[in-house]
Amino acid sequence: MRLDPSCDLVDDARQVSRTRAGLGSGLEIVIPGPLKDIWTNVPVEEDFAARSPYLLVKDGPGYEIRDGRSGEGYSVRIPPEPRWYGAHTSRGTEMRRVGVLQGTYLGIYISNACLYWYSNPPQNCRFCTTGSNVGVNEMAEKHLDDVVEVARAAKEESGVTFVHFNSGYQAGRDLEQAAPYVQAVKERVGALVGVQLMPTRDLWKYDQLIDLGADHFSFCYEFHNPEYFARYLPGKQKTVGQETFFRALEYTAKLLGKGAVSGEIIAGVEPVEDTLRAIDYITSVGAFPTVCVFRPVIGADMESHPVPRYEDMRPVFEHVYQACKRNGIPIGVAPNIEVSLICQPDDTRYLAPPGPTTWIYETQLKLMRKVARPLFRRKLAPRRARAGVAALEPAC
Amino acid sequence: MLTGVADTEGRAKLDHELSRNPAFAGVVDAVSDAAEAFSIDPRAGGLEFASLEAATSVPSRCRMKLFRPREEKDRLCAFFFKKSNIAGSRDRFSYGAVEFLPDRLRPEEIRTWIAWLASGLDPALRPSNLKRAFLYTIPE
Repeated sequence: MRLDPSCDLVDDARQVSRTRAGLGSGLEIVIPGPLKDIWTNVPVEEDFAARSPYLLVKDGPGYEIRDGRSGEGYSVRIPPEPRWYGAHTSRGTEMRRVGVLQGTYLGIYISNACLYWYSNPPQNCRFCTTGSNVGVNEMAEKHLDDVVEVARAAKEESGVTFVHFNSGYQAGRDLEQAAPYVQAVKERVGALVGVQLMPTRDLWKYDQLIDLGADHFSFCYEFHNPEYFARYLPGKQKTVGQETFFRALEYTAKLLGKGAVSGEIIAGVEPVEDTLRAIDYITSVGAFPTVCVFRPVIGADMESHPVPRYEDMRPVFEHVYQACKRNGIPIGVAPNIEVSLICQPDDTRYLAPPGPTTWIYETQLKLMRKVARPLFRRKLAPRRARAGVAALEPAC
Repeated sequence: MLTGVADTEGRAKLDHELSRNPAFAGVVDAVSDAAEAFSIDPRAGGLEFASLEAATSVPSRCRMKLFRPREEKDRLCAFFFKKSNIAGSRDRFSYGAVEFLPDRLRPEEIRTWIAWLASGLDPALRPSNLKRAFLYTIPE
């Protein structure tokens, strides 16, 4: 999307801040609609954005996206920057450098950096700039007390219900590193907690992390086609392999139940047929697919890779809805979780084909949301973990 | 060619950074001798060079920042990045950094940095010893 000079993003918008994998490099906007609002992070910095037919224009107090091809306009909302972004923790850390909102949830990158970046030669995922962000736009090390204060501020001021921790490769100590953060947010703040880490073959560790309070696991295996997995994810291929992702996804989906675990994939690099196979597989094991449209971010190895076409991406998201419906995956049930970096499954409701199966599914989802309300209320209150962090260390 | 150091603010910034890290003088000299035009940002942390757009002489988004990552250690750093195009954004798009010891920096190495910066950070001209990830925080 291009930005018209009329836009006043300094006063009106969340600071465009590239954190985590670099995917949050765009402008956060909300697209209102009759079924639900869609939160999205729109590329504005990259060279390809300068060629977009879409122009963001400030029109009076509001904003509109205008399509240069048709002249059509669509009103959008620009979520303001939370006050806590510029506040400092008791330790003097600027809060935005600890965690940021991505949509309506708080995202925190907990590790110093993905160790794939420190290999010689680097084994980083070719689309990622995580190693380039941490220490540049974020604090290189996230102190536990800072994380708790930021999570509390985000909950109190922004109504955040979900805190998402992720990290890159930590040489097999990934879950151990995340554990204190999970426990701290659960016990001292109260929120749904999600974890996105490299998978482990020690599947018992997931039981322990659930005992500490983890409500959600996300597995970024990116590409379903094994050749693409190996080519673009050299570190993941070398250290864990694609099968480890599948086993961990299946294991945690069984533990937590349908709709609590996600498989994250990238659309627009591997053949579309493989992306559809990924969606079918993920939903068949009771998880939900989170699909990122490939973005060639500045500074990434794949910076010059072609941008996906709308015509190829739309069928992917139609398929997401159909696969979730077919497999009875609950979508959009948890309160106030809007993810701007990916198209989440309940955003795809706009592509749902009319008919009795859609009506039945939507009715079931509505009922689930109602029934689940007391459960989520309990989960959003601070509560003691069932185990201690030490439980993640093996007994022998 | 290095511009912007004739005025008080630019000169003061340059003097301050050179007094803290005399090893930067070699880089300043090489930039001053280069055919391409660069300026320094007197308000940035460390010593930050910007390549200037050929047509307009306005600083481009491409930057090289020299700084000392840890005060107690001798190691210095030349960090390469692109600034955000969005007014008011503090975002920085890292392309990596070269770490060096003050007494081991060679003029030919500095020249590769300058060429890379002037090229708009063309991936084909990346320094061979470029590090993509760091364990320290880069000053703004």
